[in-house]
Amino acid sequence: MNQPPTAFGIWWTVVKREYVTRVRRRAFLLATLLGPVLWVGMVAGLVLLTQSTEEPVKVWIADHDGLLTVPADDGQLVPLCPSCYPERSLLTYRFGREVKTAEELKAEGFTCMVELDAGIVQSEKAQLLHLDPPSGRARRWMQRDLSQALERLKVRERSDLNYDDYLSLKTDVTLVGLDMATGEQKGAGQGGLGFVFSIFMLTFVMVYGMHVMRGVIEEKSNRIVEVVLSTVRPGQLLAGKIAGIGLVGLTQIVGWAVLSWVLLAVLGVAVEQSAWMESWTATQGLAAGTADFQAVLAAEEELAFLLDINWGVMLGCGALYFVLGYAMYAAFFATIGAMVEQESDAQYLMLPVMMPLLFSYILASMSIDAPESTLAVVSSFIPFSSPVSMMVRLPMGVPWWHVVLSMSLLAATAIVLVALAARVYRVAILMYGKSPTLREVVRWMIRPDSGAL
Amino acid sequence: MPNTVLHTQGVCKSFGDHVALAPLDLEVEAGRIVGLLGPNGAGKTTLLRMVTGITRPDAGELRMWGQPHHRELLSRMGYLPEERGLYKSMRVAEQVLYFATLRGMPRPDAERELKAWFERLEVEGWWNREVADLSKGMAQKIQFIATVLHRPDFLILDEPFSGLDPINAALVRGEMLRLVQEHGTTLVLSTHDMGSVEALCDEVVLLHKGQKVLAGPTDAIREDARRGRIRLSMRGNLMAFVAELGARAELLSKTTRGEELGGAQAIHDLEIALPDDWPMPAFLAWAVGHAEVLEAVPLKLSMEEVFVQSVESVTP
Repeated sequence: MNQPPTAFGIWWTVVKREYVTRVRRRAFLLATLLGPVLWVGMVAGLVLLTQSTEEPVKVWIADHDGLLTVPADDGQLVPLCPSCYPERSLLTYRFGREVKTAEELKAEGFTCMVELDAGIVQSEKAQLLHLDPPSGRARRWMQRDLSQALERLKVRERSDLNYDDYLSLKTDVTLVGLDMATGEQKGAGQGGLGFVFSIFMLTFVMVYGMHVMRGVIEEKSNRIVEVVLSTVRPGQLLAGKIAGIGLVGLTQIVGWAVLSWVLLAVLGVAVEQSAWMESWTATQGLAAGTADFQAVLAAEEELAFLLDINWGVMLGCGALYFVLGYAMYAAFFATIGAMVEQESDAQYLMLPVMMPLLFSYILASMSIDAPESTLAVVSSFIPFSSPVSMMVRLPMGVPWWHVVLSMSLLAATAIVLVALAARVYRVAILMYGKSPTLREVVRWMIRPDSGAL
Repeated sequence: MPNTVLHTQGVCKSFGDHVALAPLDLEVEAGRIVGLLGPNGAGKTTLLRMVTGITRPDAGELRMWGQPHHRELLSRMGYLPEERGLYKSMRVAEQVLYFATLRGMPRPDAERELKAWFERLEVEGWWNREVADLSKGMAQKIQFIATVLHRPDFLILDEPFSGLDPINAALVRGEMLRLVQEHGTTLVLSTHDMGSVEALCDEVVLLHKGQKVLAGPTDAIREDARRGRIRLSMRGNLMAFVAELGARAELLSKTTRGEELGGAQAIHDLEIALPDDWPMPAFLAWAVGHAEVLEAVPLKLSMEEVFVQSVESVTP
C-alpha cells in the first residue's frame, strides 16, 4: 500500500510541477537567454559603435585674417598655439588662408572646413562646411580646441595676464553629493539607474502575477481542479502555485544576472585584446597597455553607471522585494483567476489590482530627481508600492532599517493577503456557470466556510 | 462493521439557503459496485465532494473504513469527477505520474504500473504525447488511468463512459470489473447511463432534490417495483381463463398472435398483476390446469423506468 504523503510532500509536488512545466517552455528559455544577450549586446554596441566605427575627421581651417596662425620657416601656416590642437587619431587639422572648394577638399582628403575671420573674436561663431557631417564628438572637440585657441589669443592681447595665470583663474564648479550619514557619494545618474531597476520590478511582479492568474484559470476552465482537490488542499494548491511560479521568476532573475556577468566578462576580454583597444588607448592619451575594459566603460558617459552600482545589494534586495511583492500581488491575481472561467472575463477585474502598481511606477519616476522626498520615502514603506519605490531609492544609499522595516511590512501584508485569497480561492474555484459577487467574496474572507477536509 | 467502506449518518450540506443534501444515511460494503443515481442537481456531486474531502459536511458522521474521515485516507481513494480535464502543457505519462505522486505512490512503482495500464487500455506509444493532441476519448482513458493507477481500494467514477465509443467503453467496463473481482476494489458509479447500471451495479442509491428516495440491491429494486407482475403466453380458451382469473388477479393487458391459424392455435400474451396472497408458484400451478402455458416470465422494470417512476413519485 502507498504511504500517505505528508502535507509538505504534497505541496512540494505541486511546486515542482508548476516550476518544471514553465521553466522548460521554449518561451522561457528564449527570454532568459535573449535578455542578457540583448543588453550586453547593447553595451558592446555603445562601446564599439560610438568609438571605433567613427570616420576620421580631417579639417581645413580657412583662417582668412591669419588670426590663429603664423607662417613657418617653410612658408606653411602653423597654429599660433600648437598645444591647443592635441594629436588625435580621429581628428587632424591643417591650416591656410584660402577657402577651398568642395572638389579641392575632396581631392586633398579633407572631410570638412572651418571658415573664420577676425569677427570670430566678437561673434564667437564660425562656419563649419562639411562634405560628411562630423560626429557630435568630433564637433565638440573642434569647438573646444578653437575656443581654447581664441581664449589664448584674447589673453595674449592683455599685457597684464599670461596664459598660465589665466588658466589658474579660470573656474568650473562641479557639485559632488556626499551623504553625511554614510559618507557615500551620490551621483545623479544613480537615480536613473534605480528607475531602471524599478521598471524591472514592476514588469516582473506583473508578468509573474499574471502567470498565477492564468494558471488558476487554466485549472478551473480545464476542470482539472476537482481531481487535484481530491488529494490537495486548496490552500496547498494555491501556495504551491505561487511558490512554483515565483521560483520561475527567481530563476529568470538569477539566470539574467549570471549570464550578463559572463557575457560582460567575455566582452571585456574580447575588447581588451582587440586591436581596437590599442587605438582607443592612444586616443585617450594613455600609455599603451595601461587601460582596461573598466576604463572604457568609465569613459563612456552612458555606461559609467555600470561601475557605480553595488550589484550585490541591488540584486539581493531586488530578488527579495520581487519574492515578497510578487507573493502579495499573486494573491490578488489568484483571487481574480478563481472568480472567472476564462481570461477575457478577468480584464475588468485586473484594473483595480494594476492601479497601485502603476501609481508606484509614477511615484518612482517622480522620485528620480528627489529620492529623499517625503512622498518617495513614504511610498517605499507602503507594501503596495514599496517593491517599486524602494528600488529607486536603493542605489542612492538607504538606511538599513528603512529596508528592513519596508520588507517586514511587505512580508506581513503578503502573508495576510495570501491567506485571505486562499479563503476565496477554495470556494470560487469550484463554482461554475456564475461568477461570485463582490459581496460573496468579502463574506468568504470574513466568515470562511468549513473548507476542505 | 469491518467490511463497510463508506458509512454516513445524517450527513448534510447546504449552500446559503439552498439545501444541497438533506441528512443522508448510507452504507457501502467492500467489494460492491454501487450506482449513485439521480437527476441533475440531486446532490450527487455534493455527496461525492464530501467523500473525497473537497468539502466537509455541515453536520452528521462520515466514516471511511470504520474511521472518522481524515485526509490520510484520501490516498486510498480514486476519484474521477464528472467535470474533469488534463493539464495541456504536460505530457501524458508525466501527468498521470504527477497524480500518483500526489497520492504517495513511489515513482518507480508508479512507472511500472503505468506501463501495465498502457498495455491494458491499448494506449502504448502515448507515453510522451502532448495532452493537447489527444482526442476526447483518448483523454478519457488517460483520466481513467490517472484515477486507478495508485491502486485505490475505493473508486468513485462519475460518468466514466462519457465520450468513449462502445469499444472503448467496453474496455473500460471490463477493467472496472477486473478491479472489483481481482482486487476487491469498492466502486461507486455515478451515471445517467442506466444500461451500465443494470449491467454493473450490485446496488443503487437514488437521490432526488437532496433526498434519498430509493436504495437497495439492483435486482430487488427492479423486481420490487413490479412485484407480482408476470407475462404469460398461452393457448386455449381465453374467455374462460380470463373470466376465472379476473376474480382473483388483475389483467393488465392482452394481445393475440396467430389468429389466422384458427382460434385454438392462436397465442395469447397476457400481463397480469398478482395479489400478495397469490404467489407466483401457486399461480403457475393454477394456470397450467386452465390453459396450455407456453411461457411465463416474472416482469422487472428497467432501471430507466425505476428512475423515472421514483423521481416522478416525489415530484408533485
